[in-house]
Amino acid sequence: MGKSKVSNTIRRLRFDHDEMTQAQLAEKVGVTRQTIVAIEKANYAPSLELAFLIARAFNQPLAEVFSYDDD
Amino acid sequence: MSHQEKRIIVSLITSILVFIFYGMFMREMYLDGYLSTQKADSIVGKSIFALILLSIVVSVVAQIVVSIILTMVTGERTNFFSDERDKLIELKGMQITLIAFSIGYLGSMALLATGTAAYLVFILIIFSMFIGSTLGDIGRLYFYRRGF
Repeated sequence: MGKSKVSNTIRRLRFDHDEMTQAQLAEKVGVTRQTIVAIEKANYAPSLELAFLIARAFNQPLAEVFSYDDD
Repeated sequence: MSHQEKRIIVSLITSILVFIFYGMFMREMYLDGYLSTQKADSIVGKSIFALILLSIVVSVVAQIVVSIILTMVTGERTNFFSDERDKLIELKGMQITLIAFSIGYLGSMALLATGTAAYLVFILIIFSMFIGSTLGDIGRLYFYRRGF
């Protein structure tokens, strides 16, 4: 499995936001639920625009949602 | 399974069926001796036009029929929306298709250069298109299954 070096805290943030579903987040940022699943599992690194949209959906700065793992 | 994956499976099945039909048609032509006449190139040319038309019509009809059936069975409307990941997967599939087709095309040209009959080379080019499209579909399915 090709894991991306971009990890994220989307799962925790969804939980903190009244257990927002993947489908709700997908609708909010304008992608399919499968894309949210792939991002959450770090199988897919989103574009910068989508990353900003996801961070905005949680009212968080980008660095709180995404981080780059160097190892 | 996502709508995109279902669409790829439908495309894969229809292209295999159309190619089997084309292969059977060309086999009949060969057995009846049409491909050993002077009209062989013209027959193959016409058959390629028919194949392209047939594959477009069959593909569109199959996608519509499957969408209707799935809507009736699951109650969900088919979503034709595609996001950035879908577009990237589409591009990767296209890349696989083009690489496979290019290899087949170059091989066909090499055969032409060594004196193989032109009608056979045209059929090989069509076969390369089929293999390229099939590998592209399989690649897309693989990327969807893997996540990306």
